[in-house]
Amino acid sequence: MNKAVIFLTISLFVAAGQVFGYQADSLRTHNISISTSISNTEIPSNQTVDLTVIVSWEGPPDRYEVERLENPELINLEIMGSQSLSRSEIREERIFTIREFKLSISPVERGMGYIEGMTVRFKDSATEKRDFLTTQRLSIKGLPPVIPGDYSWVWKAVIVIIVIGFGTGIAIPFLKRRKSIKEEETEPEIPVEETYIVELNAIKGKNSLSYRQRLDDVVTVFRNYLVEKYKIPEGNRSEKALIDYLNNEAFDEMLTAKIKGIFDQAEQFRFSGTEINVDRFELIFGSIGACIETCGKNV
Amino acid sequence: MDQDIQAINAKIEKESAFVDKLTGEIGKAIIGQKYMVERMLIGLLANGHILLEGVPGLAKTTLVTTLSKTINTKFRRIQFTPDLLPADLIGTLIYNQHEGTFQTKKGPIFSNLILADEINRSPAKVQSALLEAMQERQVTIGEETFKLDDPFLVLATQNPIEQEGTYPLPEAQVDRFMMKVIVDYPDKDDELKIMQQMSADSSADVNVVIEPSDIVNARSVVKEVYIDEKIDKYIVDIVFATRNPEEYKFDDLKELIQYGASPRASIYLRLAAKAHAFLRHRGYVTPEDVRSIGLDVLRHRVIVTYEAEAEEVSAEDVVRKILNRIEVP
Repeated sequence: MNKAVIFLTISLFVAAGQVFGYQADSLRTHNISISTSISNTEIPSNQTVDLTVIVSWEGPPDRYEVERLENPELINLEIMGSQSLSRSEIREERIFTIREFKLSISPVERGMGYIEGMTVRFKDSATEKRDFLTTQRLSIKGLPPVIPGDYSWVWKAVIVIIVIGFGTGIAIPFLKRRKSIKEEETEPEIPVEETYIVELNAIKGKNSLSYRQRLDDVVTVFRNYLVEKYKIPEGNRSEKALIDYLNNEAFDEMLTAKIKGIFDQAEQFRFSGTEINVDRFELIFGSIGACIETCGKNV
Repeated sequence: MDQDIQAINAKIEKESAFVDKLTGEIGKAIIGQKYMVERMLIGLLANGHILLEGVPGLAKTTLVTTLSKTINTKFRRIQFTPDLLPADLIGTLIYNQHEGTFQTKKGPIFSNLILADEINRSPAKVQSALLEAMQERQVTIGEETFKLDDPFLVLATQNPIEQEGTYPLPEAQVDRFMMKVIVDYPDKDDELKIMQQMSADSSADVNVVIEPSDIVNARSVVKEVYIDEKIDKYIVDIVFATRNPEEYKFDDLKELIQYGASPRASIYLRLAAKAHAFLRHRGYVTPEDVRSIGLDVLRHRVIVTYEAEAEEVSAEDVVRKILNRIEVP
């Protein structure tokens, strides 16, 4: 609400016959209006707010004779300064006269302050009759005073941040590029197949495990390879689901059949409690290695 | 050990031979609904009751009738209504004026296959009477306790629509069903076949494939199906993930689950997985067997929070997420 501007237009078209309930029969031919606005409804007690009162009518400046605006009655507010101006405008080939009164108002202390209704007295030059217009009561909230501080350090900090940001903005891409060039020169990308083959060989060499346990681990690694290689989504990572997924995705039929064959062969040793001998293990292990190599070539 | 496994495999191969004949015979009368047929056989083999949920007209009754014919068992369909009494279900004592004694009149529960149609239409006392009989597999009338026939399988149905004037089964009682199976509409091809078959007005005759004693025998064979420790741990992980999802880093599920699955879930998951393997003529359980029946065993055992309901997340969604995310051995 601090920045909010209440624009209170009290258009008192006297010709319409209603001025805050006052009947103005004698002024039926008048066309004069008054509007008030304040620049802020909440203001620190050491700052000012502008109250603008505009009296306007259609016609030349001498159409109405507006008396000096009386200072409004203020509660918990005080007037710090005032100014007024008068001008004429032509809109759609019609002359309009505008009288503007501006008052700078400041709260006396914290809390609510009020500007009571202001009365603008005028005389119709044509009829020589006098009348008046009255504005509505306005309120302004007085806030604790704001003590201006020394913010020069903020500017200094902003400048330092900009310099550092600009420096790193240039330096990081440069360093990254240098690093990637260096990496490209020294370390070629290891194919996923190679990583898994290394892992498989490590399992094969684990003499502390039985062949059945090694078969379990080898099949798990093979399954993980397929999941990574073909980005198998969650829920399709059991052996049957994986084969179904590959079939649904119109994957190479021969290769899918080969993978299924490996799973089937391994299954009866892994889950039936049957021990697997070294020859059988080597056979399945060899099939998995060959299958991974084939998958690698099929990219 | 290897020889044991081979022996089990051979035994399962032999003992499960009837499964294909049975499904073939049922297929004469029932078009499609293979999923429901398989679940019923799992219930029959694992000795677990089934709660079927589906709109009317999906051949639930026809399927149970056909199944009872093919396994040569007694079948009773009990329509649950608001005025049904426990005595209408389990039986009562009737006074014989000539002899001056009370005589026992057994109720329709004394049968092998029971179709408890729209179980949620009857008040709690009737539901309790049925569920107690399901659990104890015996019924007490007056002072006499009667053992129920073996095999004894209850297939209870619930209608997912028209919830007004129903008595929803309490969670503790729903837990007694091994599986809750959602019966869905047939696909286009099946619907076409159903339509043509029904128009021809030629109800298919089904033959007896096995005797009830064979089912009892098959049950003992199912128990012999080998289940590896890895699979047991997998089952425990699934059930524990419904109770403590954060332990498995499923933090997003923590706020959605009010109560997880009971130990009955682990027991039934294991049994149903074995029966599933048996139906596939396999002497050992694979993770796929567990995944396959997981949803049916768990969907009625997980209670979701109000937050989940507000977000329109069902227990089924939660279970599906767990099954998809938990590490498969």
